[in-house]
Amino acid sequence: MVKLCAVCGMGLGSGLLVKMGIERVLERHGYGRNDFRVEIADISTARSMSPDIFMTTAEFAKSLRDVNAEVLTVKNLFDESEIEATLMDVFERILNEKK
Amino acid sequence: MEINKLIRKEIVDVNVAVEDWQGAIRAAGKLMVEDGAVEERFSDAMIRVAKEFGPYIVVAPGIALPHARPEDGVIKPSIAIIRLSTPVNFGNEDNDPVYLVVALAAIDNEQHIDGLKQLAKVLGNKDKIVEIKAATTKEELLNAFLNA
Repeated sequence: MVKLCAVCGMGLGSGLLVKMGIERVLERHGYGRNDFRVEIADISTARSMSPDIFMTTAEFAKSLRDVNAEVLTVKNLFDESEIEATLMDVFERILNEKK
Repeated sequence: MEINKLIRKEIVDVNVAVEDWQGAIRAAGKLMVEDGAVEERFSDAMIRVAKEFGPYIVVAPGIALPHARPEDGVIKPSIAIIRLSTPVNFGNEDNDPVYLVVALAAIDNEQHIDGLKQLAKVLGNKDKIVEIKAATTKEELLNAFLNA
């Protein structure tokens, strides 16, 4: 089980978009709820979480620089192909490490 | 909540002229105030959030998604959409300039999720982006979002 965390300012808008994008991409690759879980966090609570992967925009990534997790950034939150290109290698590597 | 209750003709507009990014957010806020969707203080709250967190609200090339908290004066869950007559910069080096402002008024973490799903479906589709940029009336812009 790979734990992912989508981070935005308040946890209401863009974090939800990132979460939906991640879920669509991973499901399309055949992964299900036994393989991953995506949570949403606002930037003030994100640092207290311990996912394997944070996914967020460049601005929030700056304040996550020293966390003990992969921090991936996306520019276009609506672009599934960008999320896919950024996420898949890292996701599959971590999933294999945990097997 | 159904998408056509969140995105309504009254809170959609095209060819909106603004001076800067704050004007763009206020223009979307004004539509929502006139529609009874939010209180007047909601626009100030959206601008405060944008200043507090930086220009991350520009979530895709040319598209800003300003929003504030439910307690900042949201009356009913709404998504206002305005296309600017001239794009303005929000200070986001990846995604400026902004031509489309999609303002989100949420009452909790749940009610607007279907709306966001629809937005993701529309704004992640290149053909839809062409349609949105080409819309000349508010009806055409509204249809681009509802018929996906």
